[in-house]
Amino acid sequence: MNPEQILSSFREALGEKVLEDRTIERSVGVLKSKPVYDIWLVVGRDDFHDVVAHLCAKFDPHLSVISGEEIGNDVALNYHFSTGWGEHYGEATFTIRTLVPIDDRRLPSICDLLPGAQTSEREKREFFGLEIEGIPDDRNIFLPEGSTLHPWSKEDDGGTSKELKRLVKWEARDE
Amino acid sequence: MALPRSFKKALWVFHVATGSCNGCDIEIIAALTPRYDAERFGIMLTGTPRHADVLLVTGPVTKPMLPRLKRIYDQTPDPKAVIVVGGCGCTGGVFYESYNVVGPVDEVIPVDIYVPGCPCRPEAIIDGVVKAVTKLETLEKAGVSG
Amino acid sequence: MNNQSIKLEVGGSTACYTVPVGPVHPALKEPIRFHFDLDGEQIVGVDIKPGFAHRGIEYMGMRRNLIQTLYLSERICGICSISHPLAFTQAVENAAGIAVPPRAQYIRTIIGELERIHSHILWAGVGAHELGFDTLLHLTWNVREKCMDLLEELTGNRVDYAIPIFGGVRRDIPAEKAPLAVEALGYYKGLLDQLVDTFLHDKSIEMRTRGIGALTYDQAVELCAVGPVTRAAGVPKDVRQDMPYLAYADMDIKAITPRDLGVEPTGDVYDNIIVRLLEVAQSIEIIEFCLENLPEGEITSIPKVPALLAALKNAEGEGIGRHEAPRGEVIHYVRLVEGQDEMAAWKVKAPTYSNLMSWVPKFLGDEVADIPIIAASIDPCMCCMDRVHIADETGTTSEKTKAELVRLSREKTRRICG
Repeated sequence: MNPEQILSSFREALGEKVLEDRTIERSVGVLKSKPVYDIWLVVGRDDFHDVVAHLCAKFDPHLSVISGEEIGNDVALNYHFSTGWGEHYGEATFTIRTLVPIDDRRLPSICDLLPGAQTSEREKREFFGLEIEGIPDDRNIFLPEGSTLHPWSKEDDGGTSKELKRLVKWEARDE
Repeated sequence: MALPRSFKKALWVFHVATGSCNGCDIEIIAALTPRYDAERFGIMLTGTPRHADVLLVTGPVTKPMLPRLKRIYDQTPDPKAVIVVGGCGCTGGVFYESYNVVGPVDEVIPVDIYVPGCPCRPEAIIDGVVKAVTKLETLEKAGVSG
Repeated sequence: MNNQSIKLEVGGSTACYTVPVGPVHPALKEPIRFHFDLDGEQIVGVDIKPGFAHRGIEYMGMRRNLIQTLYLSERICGICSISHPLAFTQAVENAAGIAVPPRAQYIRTIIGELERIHSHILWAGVGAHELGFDTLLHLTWNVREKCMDLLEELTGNRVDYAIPIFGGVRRDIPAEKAPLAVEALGYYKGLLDQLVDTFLHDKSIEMRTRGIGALTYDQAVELCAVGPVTRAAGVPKDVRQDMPYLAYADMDIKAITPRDLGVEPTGDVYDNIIVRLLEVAQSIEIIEFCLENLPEGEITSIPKVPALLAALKNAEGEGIGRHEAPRGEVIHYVRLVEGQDEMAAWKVKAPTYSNLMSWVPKFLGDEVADIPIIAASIDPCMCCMDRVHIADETGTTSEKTKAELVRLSREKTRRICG
């Protein structure tokens, strides 16, 4: 399925919920040049779950990872999916971006649609201090248990910048 | 020719990774397998620090590993030698300015032998272990016993 | 570590106890502590806690310039020490619009595939060790050294090759080095049948791995598993096939599943062995293609480092780079902002990150003695089973070492072999 067909399926099913879409064509290959596609979508937080539901129902996606960054007053989260795996040249990356306001860091979980999203959701939860509604497991994953740092958050890093000291003293070193 | 004193007993080594990238860890295993074959000198990895003469530490110390490294050090019987394998364990290397890295190994436990390299070659690791033999002999002469 | 939860059904016949395994476990960002809930020998629940070697690499990378970060990306994993730089350079090149000369694309592919060969052979040895087959560990690791020698000859280092740089590679493969590669590939071709025969037709290996750590097709898809783990379950996911890049785009690469050997995939450890061994053969073919078709020309589009740094500083945009590492898909996301030396955003995803969740169905229903080989079936790591405390139903704790687990594993091998 080519990117235009994928995008028109989204426009048809979700209409205005897709705020922005673009397709980037890249050419790969040395002996023979062929195109591959990166699809980028921007959706609102309230419609985000519906958009992923459509993706999961129609396109059997693979979720690679969720990336994120605080830009201005929002946490911008990019869900890096890909669709069309299993065929030679069949796959396109499919990134869904959604913005979460920094003073209301709530987002629906997509684990009900794609259980494999849990690791990445837990990681974003602790890195940005998000509240992921409906996540099956909301303990810290990569940070130590009980850690309240939010290292990727610029607004509220939970004291991460104070933790950057390089060395500690071993209490019995001089004995 | 009489065997040197260093060969009077086999050295048992406990390997602990405190946040390394696996590079040195794989080279440690490579040092034990047939090409380098450190086992012919009686150098052997053990499964527990309580059986070890030598602690082989790789990687910068991460925050969750800090108490565990100290505990493993305490569990290793005296006389013991600590070898740090890899540039990041020796000095921190490329891993600085992080919220979860405490620092190089010698800030946490006393270190006897530093093996730099990113990652160290198996030859360098074997050389480090041989140096540890000398260290252990010195300790034994000084009357430190386990 | 000593205060483990004990579930005891008062008056009931079954008592569950919890076995923690780990955490000393050095693989990439995912060192693991497992908590197994056991009913007798059977695993009925598993909880996984990674993060003991979490070094905050992305956080550090977002505070350094891109070339410093390239060195850092190489040190994410010492086994995939070219996979991360390959994905990272592609992400930055896509974001900044930097072209890579054809010759550089082929050289990157050659080193990437050599890494796959040594990594898969390494894994085979580790798998054999976990089953108590140490002779095979030493045999495979001896064979692996040929690949390490070639890598050292071509790149100057056994690990951390420092080959990719933004816009190309740092070292050419001169014509006089090509015969060395051809010779090494010939060596592996001659060995392959023997390796396949030793691993796949050995009775005890088959008995210890068939049906152990199974993963169904649906589970692999739902849990977004990657690499040999997902292919062993019959899911034909392979970035080199699905969305080709570098020299893979010139080849007709097919994802390898156990079906290629006429075996119906179940995702168990045996299928994992099949996929990895067949992929060694595939990598040899890929390297041969690359050596035969190695284009002439430059190896980097911006050879001067100050010019490269300036170009990167003036770049604006975001990009994704993907690479099929030996253990599965690596993806890097990068966002560059004009006038800034460091990246505005960087996300790294290593294969085990994706395969973490698939450990759960793989462990459930299997036995304690299978823990080492199932853990190893996903990820080639040696020191995961460092120390185990078993809390039994009376509340006393006993200590299980890695050696003890290996002993249990070996006893099982002997038991089933009669």
